[in-house]
Amino acid sequence: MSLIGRELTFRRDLIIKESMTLIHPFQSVVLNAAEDLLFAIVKNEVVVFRRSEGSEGYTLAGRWVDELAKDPPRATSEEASDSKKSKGNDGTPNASKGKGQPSVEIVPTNLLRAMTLSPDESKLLVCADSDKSVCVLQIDLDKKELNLIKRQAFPKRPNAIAALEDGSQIVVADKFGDAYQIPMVEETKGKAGKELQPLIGHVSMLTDVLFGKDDQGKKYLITSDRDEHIRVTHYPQTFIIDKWLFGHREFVSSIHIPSWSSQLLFSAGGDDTIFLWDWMKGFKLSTFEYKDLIKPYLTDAHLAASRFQNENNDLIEFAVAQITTCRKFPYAAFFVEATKALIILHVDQTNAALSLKQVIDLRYNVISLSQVSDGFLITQDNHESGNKEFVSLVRYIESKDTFELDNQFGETLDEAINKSLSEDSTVNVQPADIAQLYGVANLKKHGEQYS
Amino acid sequence: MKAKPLSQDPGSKRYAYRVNKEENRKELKHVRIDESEQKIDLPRKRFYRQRAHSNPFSDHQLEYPVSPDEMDWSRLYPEFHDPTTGKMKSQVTIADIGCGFGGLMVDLSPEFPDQLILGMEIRVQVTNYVEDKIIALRNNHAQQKGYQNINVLRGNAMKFLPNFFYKGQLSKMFFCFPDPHFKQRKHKARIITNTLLSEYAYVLREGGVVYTITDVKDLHDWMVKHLEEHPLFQRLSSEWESKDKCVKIMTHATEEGKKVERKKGDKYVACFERLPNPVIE
Repeated sequence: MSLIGRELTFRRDLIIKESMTLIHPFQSVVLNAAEDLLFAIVKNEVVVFRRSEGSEGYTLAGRWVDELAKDPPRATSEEASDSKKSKGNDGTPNASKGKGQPSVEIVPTNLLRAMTLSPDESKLLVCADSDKSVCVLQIDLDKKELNLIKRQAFPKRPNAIAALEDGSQIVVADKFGDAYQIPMVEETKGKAGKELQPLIGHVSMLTDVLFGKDDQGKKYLITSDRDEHIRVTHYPQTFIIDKWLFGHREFVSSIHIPSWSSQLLFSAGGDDTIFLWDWMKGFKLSTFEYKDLIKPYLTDAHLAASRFQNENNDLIEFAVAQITTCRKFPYAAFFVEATKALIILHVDQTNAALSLKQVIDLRYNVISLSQVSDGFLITQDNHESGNKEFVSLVRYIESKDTFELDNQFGETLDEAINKSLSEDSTVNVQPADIAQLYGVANLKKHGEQYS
Repeated sequence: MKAKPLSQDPGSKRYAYRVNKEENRKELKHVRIDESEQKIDLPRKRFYRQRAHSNPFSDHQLEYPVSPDEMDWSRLYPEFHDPTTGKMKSQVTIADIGCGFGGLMVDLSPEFPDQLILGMEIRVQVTNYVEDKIIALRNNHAQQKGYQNINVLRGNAMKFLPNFFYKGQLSKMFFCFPDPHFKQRKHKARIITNTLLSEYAYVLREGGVVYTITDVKDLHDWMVKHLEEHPLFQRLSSEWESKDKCVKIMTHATEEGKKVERKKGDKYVACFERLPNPVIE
């Protein structure tokens, strides 16, 4: 092949690639209480959109990029794989290890995850994969800024965060089963894993963490894990365990206390049942089985991995990724990972019975779910859609007693997102480089083959 | 191709032994043993050898109840099951965590005839050995109804203890010669950590006792440090230790204890009392 020919092919590749970039799916969104600020995690970037008064439109009002999460060169560099392997117990490089090992291709997942607003909404808390840390961002929108005021690294990847009511402390639950407490603003004394001791620990990956308060005003820390456990621990005396909520037969991925009834706790995960508990008294109030409901929405993506597959190749595995409630109305919503449906349940406030209210059909897979006063905010996987339908709002229409998609919200937000992010090199990616967004079902235990 | 381990080779003596014992076990595990003429030989340890360690973090195929309510203890202690009420006459109050070959339970059994003693062991073959041993002992002491108050479960106590026991159910917990997990990286795998101690405190009643013994000085220091730091435990005096019969049994009865004795090694004992919960803030 001539030189010229080669150059041409190269150029053509470039053009094809360029035309195929799209804005990364929004991994998670949070709306503030006034519902005029929308915070979103897009790959390793946090963006804030503001709805200006009297207008329906949104404008970009701030952004923060996790600079540490610069995509390391894919596996070609030995340094990248070395640094991954040669970390010692406390995260310090350990020169004696990692030598002579073949460099395996590790696709980096340098995402941000688990975003929470501080109780006074002045700060945003996010977990960063890049250095297994929690980042506290001060929200200063007059200057269009999100300022990193604190970054605390942990020995294992943080999975979930909860902020104490008064905003002084954050509790961080990690992949290894430990939960640490750090001050929200002041410098943390001691390094996590060394001087900084865990507040509580499970011998199983922690999946979610919440604060709860009982009728006497006593505080509790509620944690869920991959071993079917939901644990209620006294706070700040976290060495006293109050109880376990027993009933799950599979991992728990999400727990939630509704704002309209502080003794209730919803939980969901690998079971085909949603649980509703009175966590203060410690018993199960009701359950809702969604198996038949979700069947039409399951696809080949839900087939079990080949090594766990049965002879007929038809073993499906699915799990609820998130459950939450409306702030104002007694409705809960959840979604099964990698499905195009949001399932809304009604909660009878006299007997706590759960019943199906509605299934909202969506065009793309739901990625995340969060609460708003009169409905639910979801993000969708825009792999197929191109730069559309990033975030959708499902609102309860009281006059019709039904939930509906707010199309105008979605469209105006899409417009704002395209306008402000289409030039942003951090979030514009090739479809192949979109992060793995579906990891919850992998928490299922299959037992060891040999013992 | 890698050769199968002896235990899986159908031609081996060990395999035949295990198959025979397994059938025996299935049949006798959960039945009341009535007086019989036939004596059963005690199982021989060499047929149950297995790696000394098991990873407590991996997903073992374990059986455990969803909650303590769903645990069927009558299968483990049939003599203590009252068929007229359908209830157990006693609850498990003594737990031997990581019971190994079960020597401690066998010696504790006659000392606490009214209390139920449960051994938990994560290694399959070792658990099988203890089961076979208990079957044989129960059979051979059927006349006195001996050894009806002890049994063993394959389980991971670090993960699933609260699935078996109610709050405050236990009065004694034994941690005898636990895996030292020397590497610093593996310290979370140790059976005594500040976070796990809160779970042990949950299943122990006020005044209940945690017994620890090890021949590894470093591990002893670690266990003492963590128990002393925990607000719900207080160390018992060496005078108390010298008077307690369980300390004596623990020091001399366990297989590990005997091994250390043969090797003239040191044994470090530390016992801690479960304090009452402080006033909740």
